[in-house]
This record gives sequence, structure tokens and C-alpha cells, in this order.
Amino acid sequence: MPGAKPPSGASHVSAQGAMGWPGSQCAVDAWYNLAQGPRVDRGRRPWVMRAMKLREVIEALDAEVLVGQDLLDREATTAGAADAVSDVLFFGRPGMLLLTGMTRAPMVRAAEVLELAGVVVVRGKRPDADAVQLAREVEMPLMACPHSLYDACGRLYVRQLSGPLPVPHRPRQPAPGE
Amino acid sequence: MSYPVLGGGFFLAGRAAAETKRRLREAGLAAELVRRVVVATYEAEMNICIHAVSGRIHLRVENDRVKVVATDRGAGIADIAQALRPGFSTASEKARQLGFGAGMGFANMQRCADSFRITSEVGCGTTVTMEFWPRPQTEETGP
Repeated sequence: MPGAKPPSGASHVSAQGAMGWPGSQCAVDAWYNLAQGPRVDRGRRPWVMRAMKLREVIEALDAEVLVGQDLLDREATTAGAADAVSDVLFFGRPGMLLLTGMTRAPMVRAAEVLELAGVVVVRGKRPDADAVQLAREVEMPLMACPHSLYDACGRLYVRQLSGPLPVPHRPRQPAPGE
Repeated sequence: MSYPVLGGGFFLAGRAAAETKRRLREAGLAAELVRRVVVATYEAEMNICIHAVSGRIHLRVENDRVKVVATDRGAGIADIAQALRPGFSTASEKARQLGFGAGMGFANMQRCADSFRITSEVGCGTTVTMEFWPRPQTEETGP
């Protein structure tokens, strides 16, 4: 229902003002406005998206918490999936939950420098010992989930966790002579 | 400030980027600018780890402008245009297992930086110079 209000209740954390994107109520508004162009009436969205606490995330994904049992009150405002560090660096924004098949330390480091909300390793893989150690050092919640990447994303999507904002096209800064 | 980076030191990779982030935050720069600098620094650091023997990342902050120079001793790049092409990579199997070698390193650096220069000498080493300055608010979501 376009423009419908979310049902009231403690489980519905409002997405409004969650991220403070300029000129929009929330990440979903910004996404919708970008996707639709300037014709769109602000505040009318195709669906209501919301942020999720990591506590709800592990429940939704049947995930096991490997690092950050005490950080589960953190809120994931968006979620994204990638299997390459460069891709994470490309679209990762603060507060994003990362779902990935990578198990080594660099993806934890990428999550740290981007200030992501947490990392979920999918397909029943176990993160490496060095990844776990680094996650502990930088206090990055690290979870392992038995489902496939596709299923894990779907489980969060039906619970109304939004994807990352589309990254607007920006031409690469050409090197001199390129 | 400058940080040493060792080639092949995959576990240590990212230290310079994390340290850069901390310093820039302390300097009071905008979060969006810090994110771009750190993403580009991490990519540059990773390139040094994968391809070079050793290198250094220099960081200079002038008011709200940031300059990052990543320089290394290593094999160098024979064809820079080819190396800059998104998707092109010569990373080792070991690096790919770590989640690198997607060929998007330079593309990410070029998107994040406001000025980008690269020079390389085969058999000697490579230097990447990037400058960053704040972008207008409307571009905040840009890479």
C-alpha cells in the first residue's frame, strides 16, 4: 500500500530519520527518489522498509554469533551482499550489514573502515581464525549463517530490511594521459 | 604522516587504512570525506600488499583537503592504461582467495579521489597520488 504507515509496535523501528540523508526522510525515500526521478511525491514509498537490530538478524538467519555477543543491540539500517572486497568498498555505507561468502580477514577490515553494522558469513562457512581475531580487536560483530547467500538476503528482505542506496553514476577520475 | 606497508603481509594489510581513518576523524574532517579517503587508501594498500615488495603510504591534511601518496618498490606496471581498466587484474590466486583481484581497485580509487595520478617504472616501482576535497552535499551518496 503506497504511503501506508507501518503498524505501530515496538518491533517496527521507524526508518524515518534513521540515516539523515539530506532532503529525505530515510534511506528508502532517497532510494525511491533516485530511482524514480524528480516526479515523485516525497513521502510516498512503494513499501515500508525498516532498520533491524542484530538480535533480530541472527534470529531471522538462524545465525551463530562468533564475535560481538554484547554488540547485538546495534542496528543495521541497510544490508548488502558481496563476495569481493572492492565491491564492499564501492557500495558500503555506515550502518550496512554485510552478507558475504568471504571468510578471510580483509573483509572484516573493510567492514571496520566503512563502519558497517556487522558481517554475516553465509553458506555455513566458518570465518578464518585471523578474521575472528581481527573482528574481536575492532569490535565488529561477526556471525555465521547456514543458509545460502540468496536465501539469507531473502530472509532479511521479507523482514523489510532495505538494500543499500544505489550508488549514483560518477565517472572515474581519469589519470593524466589515460 | 606516513605508514610502511609490506608486500605479502596480508594479515597486516588494512592497518594503514584503519590508522588513516582514526587520524582523519581526530582532525575533525567530514565523515563522507573520510570514507572516500579511507576506501582509496585501503585499495592502494592492498595493491602494495599484493604486487610489491614494500611500500609506503603518505598522508597529508591541509585544512579540509587530503593528499594521499602511495609509493612502492616492486615490479611496476608496464601498461598503465590496461591496469586502470575496470576488471583487469593480475592478482595471484592467494590474493583472490582473500577477496581481492576483482580488478576494481584502481576504479574505486579513481571514483573516490578528486584528482588521481599514477606513474610507474617497470622493475622499479609505482606511485599513486590522490587528492581529496569535500564535495557538495548533493553528491554525498556518490562513491
